[in-house]
Amino acid sequence: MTKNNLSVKTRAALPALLCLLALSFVSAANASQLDELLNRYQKLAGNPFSAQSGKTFWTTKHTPEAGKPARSCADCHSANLDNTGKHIRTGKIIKPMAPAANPERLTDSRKMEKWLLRNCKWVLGRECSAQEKGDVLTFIKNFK
Amino acid sequence: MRVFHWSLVLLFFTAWFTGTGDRWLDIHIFAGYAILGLIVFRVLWGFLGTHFARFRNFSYSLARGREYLIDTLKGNAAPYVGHNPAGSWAIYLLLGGVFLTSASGFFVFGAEEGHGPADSLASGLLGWLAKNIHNSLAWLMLALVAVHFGGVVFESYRLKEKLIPGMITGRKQVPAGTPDVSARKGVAILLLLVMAGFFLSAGIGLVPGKKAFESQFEGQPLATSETWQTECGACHLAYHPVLLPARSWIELLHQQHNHFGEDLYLADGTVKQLEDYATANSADLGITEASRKITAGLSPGETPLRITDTRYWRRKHDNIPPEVWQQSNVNGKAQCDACHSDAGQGWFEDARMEIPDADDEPGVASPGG
Repeated sequence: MTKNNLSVKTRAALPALLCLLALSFVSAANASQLDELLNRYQKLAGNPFSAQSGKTFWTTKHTPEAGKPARSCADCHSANLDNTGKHIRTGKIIKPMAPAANPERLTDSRKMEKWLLRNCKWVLGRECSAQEKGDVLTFIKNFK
Repeated sequence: MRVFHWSLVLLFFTAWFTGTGDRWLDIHIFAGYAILGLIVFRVLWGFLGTHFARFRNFSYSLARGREYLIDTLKGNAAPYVGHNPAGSWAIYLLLGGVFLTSASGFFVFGAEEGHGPADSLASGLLGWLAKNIHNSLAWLMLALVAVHFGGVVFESYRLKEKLIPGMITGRKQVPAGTPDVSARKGVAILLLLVMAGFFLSAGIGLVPGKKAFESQFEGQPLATSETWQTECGACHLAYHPVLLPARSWIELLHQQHNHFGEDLYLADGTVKQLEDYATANSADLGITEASRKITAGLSPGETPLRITDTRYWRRKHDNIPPEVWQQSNVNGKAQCDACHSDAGQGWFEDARMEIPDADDEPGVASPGG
C-alpha cells in the first residue's frame, strides 16, 4: 500500500508549482499597488485616464500663488522621463521617473500618494484632482 | 647622505606650502611622516654611516661653535674637511627643529583632527595647543633654513670652496693627505630597506594597532537613520544632525508645515523619530570636529535654522569666490556634497574637499529620491 495517493511526478513538480504560485503573488502585489491606486482614482474621475493628457499636464506651467514664479513637473523631473532630474531649489539630483529607467517607480502606493500630495501643492497650489493624478500616473506608466 | 639632504629640502618646502588651508592636508601629512622617517634614517646613519656623516666626527661643544663663528668674522677660521663647528650646531638645530616640528604635527593630527595613532587625544584644548606649537616651530624652522642657507653661501664665498655643488656631487676639494672614506653603501641600503619597510607597513596597516594611512582620512562611524535619510534626503542632502544643536533640529521639525516655503506633511510618529535621532546625534555632543567648532561659535540659546548661518560655516567659506556658488555643479550653498565628498556621512574631513571646476560633471548626490 502506497503512503500517499500522488504519483512520483506530481510530488516532484509540487515545489516548482508552489514557487511559481508565490512568484505570481509577488509580481501581482507590485502591479496591484499601482492598479489599485488607479482604480480608486478612476472611481472619482470623470473620464478614462489618458497618457497624452498626463503628458500635457506634466509640461504645463502653473502659478501656485500670486507672486510666485510659474513652474511645472518637468522643471524638476524633466519632460523626458528617462532623464535624471534636478531639484530647482537645492540642485539635488532626482533619479529618473520612467519605470524602465528606474524600476523603483510606481511600486509603492504610499510613496506615490505622498509625492502627488506634496508636489501638486508645490506646482498648482492645491491638491491634484483624481483625474489629474490618474492621467499623470498613466503617462509615467506608459512612457517609452 | 645627499639624497637625504635634498629629499629633506623637498619635503620641507612641500610641507610648508601644503600647510595652510585644509585642501592639501593629505600631502602635508604624507610629507610630515616622510620627514620623520628621514630624520630616523639620519640619526641611525649618524652612528652607522660614512666617516663625515657620523655625529662622533663633528661633535663640537657650543663654545667651539661660537669660537668658530667669531674666527670666521675675524677672517682667520681654519678650514675643515668635514662639518665645521658652527656648521655642526646648525645641523643639530636643523635636525632637532625639524624633528620637533614633525612630532608636534603628529599631535595636531591626533588631537585636532582626531586621526592617526594619537587620536585618543582628540580634544579642543590639546588640539589648540599642539596646533600653535606646530605653527610656531614651523616659522622657526623657516628662519633656521634661511640662516643655514645664508651661512652656506657665505662660507662658500669666504673659503672659496664649492660647498653647494659638493652637496650634489659628494665631492669636495681637500688638502693633500686627507684619507679617502668608504661610502658604506651596504649599510645605507640596509637602513633604507628597513625604513621603507616600516613606513610601507604603517601605510597599509600591517603594523598591529596602527590604522592604515588611507583610512586616516575617514571619520569615525556615525549613527544613521533610514527615516532621516528618506525624509530629509528627499529634496536635499540629508544633513547629518551633528551639524546643528538639538534645539535647531527640534525647531525645524516644529516648523515642518513651513519648511523654507514647503509643507513637509510629516506624520506625528515620523516627527518623533526624527527628533529622537537628531537629539541623540546633535552638535551639542561634539562628536565630530565640525560639531565642536559649530557649537563653540554659537551664542547661548542661539538657534540657527540653517547650517550656513553659523559663524563657523561663514568663517570657513568666506574666501570662496562668488562665481563658485553660481556654477551649475555647485548650485548654491545648500549642497555640501558638491565639494565635500564625505558630506553624506557627516564627516567633512579636511582631506576630502575639492571645489569642482566650472565644467566638471555634477556628482550624484546622496540617495533618497
